[in-house]
Amino acid sequence: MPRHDRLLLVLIIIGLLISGYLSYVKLAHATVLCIGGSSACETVQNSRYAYLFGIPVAYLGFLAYAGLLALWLVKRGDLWGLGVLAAQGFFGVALFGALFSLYLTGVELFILHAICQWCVASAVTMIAIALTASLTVQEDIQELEGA
Amino acid sequence: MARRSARTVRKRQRRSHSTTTLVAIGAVAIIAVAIIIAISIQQSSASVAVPPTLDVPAAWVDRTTIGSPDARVTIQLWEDFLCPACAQWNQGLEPRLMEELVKTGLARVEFHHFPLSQHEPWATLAAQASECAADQGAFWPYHTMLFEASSSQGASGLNMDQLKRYAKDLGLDMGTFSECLESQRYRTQVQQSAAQAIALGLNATPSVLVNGELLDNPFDYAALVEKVKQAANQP
Repeated sequence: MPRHDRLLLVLIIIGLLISGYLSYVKLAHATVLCIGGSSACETVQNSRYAYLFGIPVAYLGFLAYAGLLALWLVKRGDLWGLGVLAAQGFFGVALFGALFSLYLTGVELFILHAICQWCVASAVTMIAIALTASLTVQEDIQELEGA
Repeated sequence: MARRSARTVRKRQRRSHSTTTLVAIGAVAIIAVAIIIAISIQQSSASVAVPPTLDVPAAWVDRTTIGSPDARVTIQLWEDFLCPACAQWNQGLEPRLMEELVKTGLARVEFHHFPLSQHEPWATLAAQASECAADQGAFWPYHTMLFEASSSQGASGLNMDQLKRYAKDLGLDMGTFSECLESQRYRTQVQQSAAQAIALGLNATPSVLVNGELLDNPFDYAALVEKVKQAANQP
């Protein structure tokens, strides 16, 4: 397996764990565990920016990472001959996720004035996925088309 | 030779086609995020709902105190408008407390400012605004609006413009309110209140005291009611 695919898989798993935890917190109405107290995390998690069309962003983040995992699997195995399409889809979802994560981090810094470490960790993970995907998507497509 | 050349051309064409597709995907992603951001910004400028008027005699409301002057029990609330737990308390327990303990004349509630340093400068600004609203007899509905705003918008819901907006939505005299807020008339009073909280040994918000006795868990409503009833029955 190419090194970048291994890296992407690790990052997706990290993203799933982070967004999974934040989704659990939302679902169980639990308190977010944060270094230096949960107040800032609670502020972010309970703000109107934590919802998109009424759906908690944590759930959407989990769905995005789950979608990336599915696309990664299809791309890796060229399942049903959809490898190229999956590689393109992976790039699109990762780019969307990274841009949206950047926006949410900006909201935390400049509007809410509260930083949720879990959200920042997820944003860093998503940006790393998008960067890796951007740098390797052409190579993946060429390999799949050549196969 | 010709076959190899044709293969190279096909390869280049495929690569060029793939790049165009990726650029198109990138553009779609950027446009989608831009649309979502625009919707999100539009939603964030929304105001908060004006709460219904508390159904108690006018004589029972004295600035940040509400309840019968004859009540034998005083419940002190020490809160910070930017504290998520306070907003939760305000939205979950306070309506019950008002309905079951205040309206029945059993207890009187005193609100005290305890702005936490990590929530500055918004917490103190909001506390001052609530005092300015109290000048016009509107502390209680205004404080409900502040908690709703902070829980949904964080600090951005407690900036100067938003604080004025809630006052306007409540129908307050805006000239008086703005002058009060901008001159920071209540800054010292709010700071003194925070110092008093620390002197009392309080270290968290919300802190709830029943006749001066601190509740271990402010979210245990049954314990609060029990404590109030005990205090009311004491000779």
